[in-house]
Amino acid sequence: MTNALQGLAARAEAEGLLDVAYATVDSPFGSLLVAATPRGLVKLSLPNYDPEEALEDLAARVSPRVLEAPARLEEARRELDLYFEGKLTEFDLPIDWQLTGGFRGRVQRAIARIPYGKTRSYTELARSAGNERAVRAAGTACGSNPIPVVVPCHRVLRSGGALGGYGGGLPMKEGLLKLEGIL
Amino acid sequence: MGGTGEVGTSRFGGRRRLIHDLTALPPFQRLIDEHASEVMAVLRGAVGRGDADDCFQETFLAALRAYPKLEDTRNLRGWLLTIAHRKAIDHHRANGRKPLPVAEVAETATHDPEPDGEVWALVGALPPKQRAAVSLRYACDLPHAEIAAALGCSPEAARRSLHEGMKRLRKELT
Repeated sequence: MTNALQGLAARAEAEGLLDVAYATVDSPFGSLLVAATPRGLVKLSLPNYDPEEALEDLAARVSPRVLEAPARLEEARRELDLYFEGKLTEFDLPIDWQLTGGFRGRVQRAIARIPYGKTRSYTELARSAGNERAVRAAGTACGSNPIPVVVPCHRVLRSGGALGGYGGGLPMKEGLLKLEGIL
Repeated sequence: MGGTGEVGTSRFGGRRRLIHDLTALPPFQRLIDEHASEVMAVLRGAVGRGDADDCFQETFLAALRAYPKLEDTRNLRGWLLTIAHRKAIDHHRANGRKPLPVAEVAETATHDPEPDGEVWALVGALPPKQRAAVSLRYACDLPHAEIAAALGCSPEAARRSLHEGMKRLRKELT
């Protein structure tokens, strides 16, 4: 049965039927769900979210052809493992931005450019996305980041240096900032 | 801008969400998780162990191809079993309807460590309709009406195929 299933995923990939491949990756904060389209990483779901809901969301918003197929996510898994060990400071993964767009999309691309070990305030982020006054919208864009950790929204803090919020919970944000030597 | 991804903040949001969930296609992996072992059991009965893996993949690839345009999501299991049945028939057509070679039939009754081994091999050698009816009845536990739906025939015809198949099996086993 296992062979038949592995063969199925490989044949689906070869025939261009594997619209969304996903896998789970262990992290010090719990299990992450990562998903990729043929174009790149499209979703990373943090441990405190229900993976089934994340998959349903992908089925509705990207394609219902969602299969557990870890082969496509091997490089993402490798880089995430190294990152959590403190041995990788820059992800080199193709990203599929289709779950985001407009101003939010610009903010999230700006987040992707914040270097390892550095932080930005929501105001600075709004400015680099092209609208200095849209601070609140920048905050919303952080909250709806479809690919946290890889798109490092944990590096965005309040102007005074307070932590602000985090979809994965504040202990995780703190943990990531400690890992990067910021806290 | 909601931003939190939550639905149901408006008065009618909850109802919209409910209707959406009732008609939305679940992630395809869920169909595999829930029905793969049953589809495999049917195919082992219908085409034998040696070719079941290939038919299994053909079944799920065909399902995956058609899936995004599937409109009725209420009976995904029946849909998959119907595809499996067609793939089994395709398989036998491609093989020129050769009956499956059955390994030596034991002269004396012996205990079969794999309970479905011998019997399913005989099921595999039945004519297509009978084979499908027997597999759907005993591997999938489907009632006559659903067997008829899966085979695209009347319940009466399904009952007859099942009866003929069982009669033949009994004869071969005694």
